[in-house]
Amino acid sequence: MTRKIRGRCAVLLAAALLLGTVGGCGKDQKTGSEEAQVDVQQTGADGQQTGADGQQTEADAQQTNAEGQQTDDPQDTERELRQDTEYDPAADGLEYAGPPASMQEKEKADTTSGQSADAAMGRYMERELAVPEGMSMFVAFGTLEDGALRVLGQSKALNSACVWDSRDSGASWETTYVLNEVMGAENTYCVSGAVEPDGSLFLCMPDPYAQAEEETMENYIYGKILPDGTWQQTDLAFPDDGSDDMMSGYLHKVICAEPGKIFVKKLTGADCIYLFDDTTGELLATYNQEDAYVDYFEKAGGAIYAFGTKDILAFDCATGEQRAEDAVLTEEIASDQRNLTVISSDTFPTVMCDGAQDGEVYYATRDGIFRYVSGGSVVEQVVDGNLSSLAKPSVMLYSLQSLQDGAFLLAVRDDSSIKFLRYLYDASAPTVPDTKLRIYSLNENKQIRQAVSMFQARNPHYYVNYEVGMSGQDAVTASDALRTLNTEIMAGSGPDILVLDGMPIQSYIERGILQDISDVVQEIKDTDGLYENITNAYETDGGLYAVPSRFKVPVVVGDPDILAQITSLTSLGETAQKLREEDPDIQEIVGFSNIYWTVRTYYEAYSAGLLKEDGSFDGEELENFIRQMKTLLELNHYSDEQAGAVYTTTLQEGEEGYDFTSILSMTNFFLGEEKIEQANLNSGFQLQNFLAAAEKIGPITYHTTPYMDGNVFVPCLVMGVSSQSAEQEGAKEFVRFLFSQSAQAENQSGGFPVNRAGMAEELGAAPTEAVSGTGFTYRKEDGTMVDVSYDVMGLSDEEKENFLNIVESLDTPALTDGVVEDLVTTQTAECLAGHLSVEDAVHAIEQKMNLYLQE
Amino acid sequence: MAKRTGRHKRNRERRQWEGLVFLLPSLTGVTVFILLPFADVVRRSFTSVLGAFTGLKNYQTVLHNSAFLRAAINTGKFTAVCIPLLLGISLLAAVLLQGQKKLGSALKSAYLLPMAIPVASVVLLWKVLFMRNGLLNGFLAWFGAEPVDWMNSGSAFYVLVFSYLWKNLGYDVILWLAGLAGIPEEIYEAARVDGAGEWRIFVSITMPNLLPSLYTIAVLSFLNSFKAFREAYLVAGDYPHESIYLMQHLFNNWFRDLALDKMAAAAVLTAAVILALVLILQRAWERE
Repeated sequence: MTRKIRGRCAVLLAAALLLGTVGGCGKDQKTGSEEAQVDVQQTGADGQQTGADGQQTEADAQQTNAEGQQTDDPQDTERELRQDTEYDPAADGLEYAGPPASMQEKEKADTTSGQSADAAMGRYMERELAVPEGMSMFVAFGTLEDGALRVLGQSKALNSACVWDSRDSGASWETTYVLNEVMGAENTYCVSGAVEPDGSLFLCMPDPYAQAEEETMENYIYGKILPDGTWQQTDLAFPDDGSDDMMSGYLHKVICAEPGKIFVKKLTGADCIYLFDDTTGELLATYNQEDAYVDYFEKAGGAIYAFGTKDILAFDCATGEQRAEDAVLTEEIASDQRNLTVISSDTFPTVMCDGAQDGEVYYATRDGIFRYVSGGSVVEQVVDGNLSSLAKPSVMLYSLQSLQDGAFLLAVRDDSSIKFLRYLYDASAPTVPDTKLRIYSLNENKQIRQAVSMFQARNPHYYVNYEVGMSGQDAVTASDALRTLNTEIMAGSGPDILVLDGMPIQSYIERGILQDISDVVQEIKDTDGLYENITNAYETDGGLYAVPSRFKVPVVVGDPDILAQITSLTSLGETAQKLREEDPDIQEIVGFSNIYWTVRTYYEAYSAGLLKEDGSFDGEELENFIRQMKTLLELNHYSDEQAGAVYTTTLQEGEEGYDFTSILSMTNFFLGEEKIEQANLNSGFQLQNFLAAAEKIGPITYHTTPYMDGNVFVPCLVMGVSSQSAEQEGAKEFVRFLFSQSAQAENQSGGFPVNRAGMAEELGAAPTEAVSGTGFTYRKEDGTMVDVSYDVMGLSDEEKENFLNIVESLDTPALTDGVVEDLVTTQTAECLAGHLSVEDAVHAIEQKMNLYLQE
Repeated sequence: MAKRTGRHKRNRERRQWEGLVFLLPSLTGVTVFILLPFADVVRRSFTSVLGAFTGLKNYQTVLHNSAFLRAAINTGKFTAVCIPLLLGISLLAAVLLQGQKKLGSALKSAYLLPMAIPVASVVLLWKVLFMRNGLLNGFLAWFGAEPVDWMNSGSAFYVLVFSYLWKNLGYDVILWLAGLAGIPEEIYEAARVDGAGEWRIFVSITMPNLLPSLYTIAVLSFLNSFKAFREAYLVAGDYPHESIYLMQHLFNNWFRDLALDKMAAAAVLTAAVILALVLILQRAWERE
């Protein structure tokens, strides 16, 4: 080859490389997103897979739903979607105007030109059914041979376990049995049970006939309600596992294996699942693995799935042998620890049921409802949790049932109410709503999750994706998460809505990253009213770019005469010293949970005083803060065991995102071992609890923290809309909803609502009876037992007025800058633990703070 | 004659073009991943975060920013202390190593070992040594000294210098050895025959012959000095002791706060200073 040809080849090669480099940098984003859509496996009502490429969707779009309705008119679709939810816009004082104008135009364009070629259609829509009237507790449900639904539960009004039937797919219920009447007893209370297809029910309950004061194993009885409505008691022949505590007879879970046979697991004792004949009580089989811990179990697809704390074991129902072919399913569920963590004795993190085909399993978790076929390699998502109530933190699962019409019925507890949710396939609904909103927060926030789920139910044309910067599962720090977020923002792919807690709010405002949402705030102000002293905390040049949607109130608690002496942090220290001289034996003068969280609690109440008017750091105030904290800790007397827990100086693993500053513990007050406590009040329920405890202990009261001029509040859930967002309207719609009464009244311990109507609902109606009962038993160091119990009543008008006056007086927001909080808290904690002198701690903080402020 | 000259010129041009063509892929990579992004940084240094033109405002802000000035002073001080120390110590080690026959290979590996240790492991080592409950304080406690949190005191700067020297010594030793190997042995023999002592040989023969290497080693060491930030950041976080608060800390924190306008201006200033230094050095050696 001549040099000329070699040269030309080299030029061509270089040109090709250059073009390839430049072309690769400009990869089509849309292609990427299309590929992402294809990964979502959606299953139609008949179990066929549909893809985002729409190849099978045309056939599926012609399918009818359970009611036999078929619709192609988008307006009808919209109406039906809205009817499927129970949202009443009038309750918020807002009118639901339908989808935003931009979306209406898009829908109109889609209508005239036919469906968008890219839109996949068909998904399961959630609908809430009525629950039996008077049902206060759910135990079990099942489908009878004739297709009727049967529910076993508790009726508080009748003070009896009851059975209800529905013959219209849950639209209405009639009482079939009242167990008090069936058993000829009073106060029947069913703790677990199973419905069998022939209509009989197997029950476990405390013996209603027993007169014994001390509960023993014999106090739980088992038996059946036969199809003819008579009661037949059964003794289950449990093998002796050595357990004899009072809960050893309590059956945690009962599932019908087949008519006449039941699977059971006890709450305590051996980690085994037993198969019994429910008539004779004969033990037929035992399912267990040596050294395996079993929390509860489910039955589906011919297998028993035993849920432990870290994994799931699958046993074949017929042979009792472990099944390896379901590894895909068990590993998929166990990959998320939340799917295994049991929080209460009557709800479960994962619930399962059989499908129509052999080996078909459906299971529900917070992430949705999934389908699996035994021996398969794929788990398919049937219902997206984000598009339903499943993602709500307040929802806990009781039981899942697949119905004959292809729908699913899920019994859940949502906060304190029981709900039946039906999921039915709607071929005309888009698989994933076209309009996507991204919400971002640094830490997982239950309040946001709750709001997302509620918003989603009311606005099915939005798909809201909630992203968390620090999951807690990896070593990502707040700085790392913020840098990643900022990269996305600058690349134009940032979130639409930001939860600004822990973020550099002022920096974002100064740089124009946040949109002015004064118009949204004004709307809510005009309808429900807002606490402007809270919402205007970050007002900048007349605009509202970052608005707190909730707030906490730092309070100090103690005897009124003692609290009257505390007018500053210095006087707190002096008062504490005087109290110690008066009472040398009391354990704590000022309560400390552990050093880290207590310092952080006091920091939040005091932080605004650490900056001078010119924005520089006040070293003298800082030194005073650290000295007083040290004094307060040294005045307390702890045993070695207690000191180990108290002297914790850093955030512990798993504590990220949690708020221990809001724990207002009254235990030591009850024991007479504490004089003063400080915490952040964050909910009406917490206030009710405190006031009930205070009345019991007496005389105890609370004040806002008096450490500086002004009344401090802690802004929470500070919301901002990105000025770079392509979905401004949708983002504002979400923020509008977040500030509305219905969202604000849902408190997941995220702080008090800023919406006045929401606050009224939060504080509750006038007390007529106990909201709840509470109590504890405590063994003191000298061996004496202290038994405390009391009713928590609703707030009286006077108590509400007193609290609302406090809210109106709040005028000083705490510093929420994460960098400052971390610097001050960690160095102060190290000083309190004796690792640093006060001077060294002050110097270290000042030096780092100066660097930060200089930047 | 004219025809031969013309053909010669065309051949030379063709060779130049061919050379450029072979350089093109690497040049493309450098252009796309370094030069173009830096050009964007220069552009951003004259705009706000969202792209509005602000003229020289960002530069004014940066030059009046106390944190920037402190970081610049610290970085300059660190460089001014570390580079001469590193060059001197590594040259001495290389000269001593050059004569070793049996242990030379093993010693070279030993010198290079710190470079092979991952940064996270080095950080762990520093924490074990220099934290309040570390080994150094334990050793000093035998002599009755109070424990000191070395990384949060004025000694942090010297800990960082030590860390830099420890990590990069081996690299420079190898480069010096390569330079020393290039000096003909005959020159040394001739000097010894003339009665020159070791010091005279070192000053009059070794040093002049190493000057070309000195430029390369100095530039590489200077660039490596910026990597000391990794240990400082992993040990002490976003806000270390003020004596080891370097330019990268400032950039890191500005990025966290989305102060990209200030970051761009500071980056341009820093790049300009580094470029100026490199060019000055290059000019100085070229004159030599």
